[in-house]
Amino acid sequence: MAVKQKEKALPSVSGGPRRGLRLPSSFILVAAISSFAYFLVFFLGPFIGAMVIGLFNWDLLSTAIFLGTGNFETMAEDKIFLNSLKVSFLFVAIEVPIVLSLQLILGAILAKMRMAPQKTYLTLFFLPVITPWLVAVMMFTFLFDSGAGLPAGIEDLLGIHVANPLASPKAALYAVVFVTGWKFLGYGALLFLVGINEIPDHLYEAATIDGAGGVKQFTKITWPMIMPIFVALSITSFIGALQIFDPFFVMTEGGPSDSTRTFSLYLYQQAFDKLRFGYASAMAFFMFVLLLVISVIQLAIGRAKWEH
Amino acid sequence: MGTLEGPGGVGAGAVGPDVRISRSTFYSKARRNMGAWLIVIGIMPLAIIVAVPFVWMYVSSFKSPAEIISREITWFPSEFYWTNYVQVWELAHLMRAYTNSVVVSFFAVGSAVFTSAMCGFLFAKKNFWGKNALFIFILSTLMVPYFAIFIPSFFLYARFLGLKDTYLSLILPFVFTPFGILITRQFLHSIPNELIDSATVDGAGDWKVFFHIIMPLAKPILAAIAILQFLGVFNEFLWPLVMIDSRDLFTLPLELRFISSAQYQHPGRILSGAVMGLTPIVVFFLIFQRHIVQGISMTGLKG
Repeated sequence: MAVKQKEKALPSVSGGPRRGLRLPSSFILVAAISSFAYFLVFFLGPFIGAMVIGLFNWDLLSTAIFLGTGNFETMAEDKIFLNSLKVSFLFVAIEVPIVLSLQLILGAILAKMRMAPQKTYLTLFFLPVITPWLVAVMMFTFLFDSGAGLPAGIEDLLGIHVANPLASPKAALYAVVFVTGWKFLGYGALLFLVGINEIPDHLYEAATIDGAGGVKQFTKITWPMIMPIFVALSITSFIGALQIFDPFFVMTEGGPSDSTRTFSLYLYQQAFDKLRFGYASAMAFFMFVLLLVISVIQLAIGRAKWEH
Repeated sequence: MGTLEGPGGVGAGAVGPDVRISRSTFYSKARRNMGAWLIVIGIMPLAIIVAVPFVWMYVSSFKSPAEIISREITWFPSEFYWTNYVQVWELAHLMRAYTNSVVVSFFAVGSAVFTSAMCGFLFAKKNFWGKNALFIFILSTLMVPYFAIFIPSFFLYARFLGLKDTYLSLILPFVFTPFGILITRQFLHSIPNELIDSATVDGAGDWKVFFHIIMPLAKPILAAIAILQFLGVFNEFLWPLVMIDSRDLFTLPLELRFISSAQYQHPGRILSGAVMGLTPIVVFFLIFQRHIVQGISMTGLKG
C-alpha cells in the first residue's frame, strides 16, 4: 500500500527539473551508443565509401587511381550498362503492375471466401514465399526445359510447341517475370487480405441495404480503405523488383545475348568478375540517386491521391 | 509486486491487429454458399499454376534418368529411383549446409530481436539528448538500397575487419535492423507509461524494466520480427556468395547452387537436392504457419 501512496505523490518519475542534470542511465547509454556506432560503421560508413570509391579506378588490390567523374562518363557510353538499365526498367514495368493486380485480386477473393478452403489456399499460395530462391530456380529451370516431361507432354497433348523460354532472347525476361510473380503472389495477397478483413462489416452491410453490388462495393469501400497498403506495397515491390538479383544470377546469368542482364547483375559482374570495384560503385551510387528521385515522386503521387 | 504482474497481459490482448480468417456475413446462407463455391472453383487455375511446379519437382525427383526426360506425363514414378537421393547425399554436404544456415540464422535472429526490443524501448519510452536525431539517422538507413552499400560493405568486411570466410561476417549485417526498431517502437508506444513508472518507483532500474516488463509485453511483435528476419537470413544468397569461400561454411543456398551447377547433366539429382533443401522448410512452415502468417501480416502492415 505504501507503494501506491508514493506513486500518487509522485505522478511522474521521469521528468521534472532534475532531468537535465542527471547522467543518462546505463541502459540509455548502452542502447544509444551501440545503435549509433553500428549504423555509423555498417551503413553511413559504406554509404560514404560508395561515393568515394565511385570516383576511383580500383580493383581492391592495387593502388586506386583517381578518376573524378570518369566512371560516370564511362557509364554514359557503356552500351551494356545502358542496356541493363533498359532491361531492369522493362522488368519492373512488366512485373510490378501484373503481380500487384494479381495480388490485389487474389487478396480480395480470399477475404470474401469465409469458408474452409480459404486456409488451404492461403497455405498453398504462401509456399512459394518461403521457398528459397535457389530451390525455385532449380525447379523452374527444369520445368522450362523442353526436354523435361511436363512441357513435352503438354506439347503432345495440346499440339503447341513450347520452346524453352530461357533460351530465347525475347522470352527469357518474361520467364523470370513469371517465376517472380509465382513467388510473390501470396505475399501481397496476404497483406491485402488482412487489410480488407480490417474494414468494418457495417460499411458493407449499409452498402448492401443501399443496393450496391459487389463491384461497386469494391470501388467505393474496399479500394479506398486499402489504398495505404497498396501505395506501400507498390513502392516496396518497385524497389525490390529493380534490385532483384538471385533469379537472374542463377537462372539466366544475363543471357541469352544480354536480354536479362539487369542493372544489379551487371553491377555484380563488373565488381566480382572484372574487379572494377570503382566502376561498380559509381553504378551503385547512380542507382541510389535514381531510386531516391523515384520514391520521392511516388510518395508525392501517393499522397496527392490519398488526399483527394 | 501486484503492479508489476497485473497488467502483463495488456500488450498481448489490446495491441496489435488480429488476423481474422472467418467471420459472420450478411448474406443469406444459401446464396452465400453458392457464390463462395464459385469463387473457390474460380481461383482453382491460379492454385494449380502455383502447385504444379512443387508437385512436379517432388514426383520427378524419384524418377530414373530415362523416365525424367520421357515425353509421357507420369504423375507417379513407375519405380522409386532412390539413387538420386543417395548420390546427392554423398556428393553434397546438405546436412552441414543446413547446420551452417541454422547456426547463422539463430544468432542473427536472436541479436536482431534483442536489439529491436532494446532500441524500441529506448525510442518509445526514454528521453535523452539527441534522441530524435539518432532516430531519424537510423530510419534514414531504411532508404538506402541494398546495392548502394554492397561494394564498400564487402571491402569493410573482407579487408578492413578481416571477416571473410567466417560465421560472424554472415551474422553481423543483421544484428541491428532499422525496420525491427521502428515497428517495436510503434508497438511500445501504446503501452501506458504508468506501468513503467510504477516499477521505477518500486526501485527497478531501466534494465530490470526492460527485461521484466518490456520484453514480455513486446513478445508478439518480437515474434513477428524473428520470423521475418529468419526468412530473410536463411534465404540470403548474394552476401554469403561473396563472403564465403570454403565449402565447410557454405550455407544452404550456396550448397544448392553448388549442386545445380555441378550436376547440370543430372536433373534427377538437382531435383532431389532441391527437395532435400525445401522439405524441412515446408515442415517448419506448416508447423508455425499461424505464427508466420500472423507475423508477416503484422509487420507488413505496420511497415
